Amino acid sequence: MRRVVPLLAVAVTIGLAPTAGASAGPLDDARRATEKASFNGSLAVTWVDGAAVRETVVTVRCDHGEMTIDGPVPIIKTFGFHVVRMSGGWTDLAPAGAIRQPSTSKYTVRRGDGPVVAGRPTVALHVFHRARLRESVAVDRELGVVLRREQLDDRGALVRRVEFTSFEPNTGTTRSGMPKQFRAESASVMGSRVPAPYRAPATLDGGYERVGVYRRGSVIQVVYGDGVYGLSVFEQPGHLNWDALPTAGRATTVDGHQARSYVWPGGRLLTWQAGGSTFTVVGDGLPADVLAAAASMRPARSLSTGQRLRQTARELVETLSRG
Amino acid sequence: MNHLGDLVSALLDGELTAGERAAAEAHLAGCPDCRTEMARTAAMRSLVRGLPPIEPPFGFVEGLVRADRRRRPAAVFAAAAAVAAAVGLAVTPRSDGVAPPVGRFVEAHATATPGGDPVTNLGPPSVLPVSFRP
Repeated sequence: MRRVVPLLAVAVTIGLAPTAGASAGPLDDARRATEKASFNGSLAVTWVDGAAVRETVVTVRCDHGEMTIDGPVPIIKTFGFHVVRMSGGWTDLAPAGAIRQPSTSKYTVRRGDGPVVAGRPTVALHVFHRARLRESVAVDRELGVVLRREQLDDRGALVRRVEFTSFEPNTGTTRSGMPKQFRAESASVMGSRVPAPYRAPATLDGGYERVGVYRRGSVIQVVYGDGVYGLSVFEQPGHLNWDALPTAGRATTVDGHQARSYVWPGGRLLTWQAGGSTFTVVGDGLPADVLAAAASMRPARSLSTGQRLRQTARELVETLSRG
Repeated sequence: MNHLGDLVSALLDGELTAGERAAAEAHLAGCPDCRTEMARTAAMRSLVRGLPPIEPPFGFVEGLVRADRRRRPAAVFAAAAAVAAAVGLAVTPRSDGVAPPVGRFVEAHATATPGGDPVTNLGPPSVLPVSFRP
């Protein structure tokens, strides 16, 4: 019997990123159209959780790109960042706009006639990888806003679906109310040069390309994109405390290292220790691609005491220098 | 021959190759300055590793510095220095290890990925409780 461990909260990722290369055009157009749109709607989210199919409905209000999502964990999103209501109040979780778009052309997009969604005609964008359909996106013919997304597995079965069940364009000017104060938990942005013992390789197997690096204390988050899906690698110097992990995991190996694997509603998570560091990979792409990316992480040589002391001093200076 | 410098700590940590180690030990045998340096480094290492483990929560340093910097610069500087030092000490591998906050990592991923938005970026599509299964 599978165990489900409820944790705090937040967003499910099926992660269709704005894309580049051969597939950049129509998907990027849809993203930009939504950033300018104003509407109210109800969004049904369906995902497969083992043998069960689960669904929830959230309401969405968007006013010229400032979006409020009233779900179990409210989110306010604007161009630069996301603000998520956590147990302690509003928290800015997303680093401010330092993500670049991957240049990969891993996927191709074909355009066709789409279904009627929420009473509105659409254009269909079919996303293929190696001639296999991975995503179907229905875009509003009039506004260009995405009205439905479906992610499929290797056999073509539904993995996740996001669909407006009601959609009403409006021209109102009422702002959704960005909170004036919230906890600043966004990460600091790092450049392309990442100090030892962190690795942050520019590319990972599975077609992933590094698009951003962030730091929270001693943890760095390296964000990758493959043109459609996202993947984050969290690097923590130190040995993994296996006893501190959620129990609902499966033992596996990553590049020969003992690892723990989890499935969450938006994808897959792997954590393991190698070379004196602990790695955690969170990905919303195909499981095989996430595994391939994780296995291509090579640990750095461990630091000497002197290097660790210098690193501590550097972290102190960097932390105090940040505004 | 130059003094050992950084090789002292590497030697103490057993991270030199056999050849490097032999050369370093030969130098130590004839260099009182490097022997003194090695003794001091060993003492410092014992001190650092003997401190109790402190692992600040995910994002704590940034939150502390950004939230309070404007109000009490001196106090915040001192507090941040202490916390940053704790972060640095946490970097030193310890027997009790690090505990990845996997739930927060999922959140951070969901809000930072290239498509990190439910609708506008065609990205993470919804707001759901994070749960795990094998």
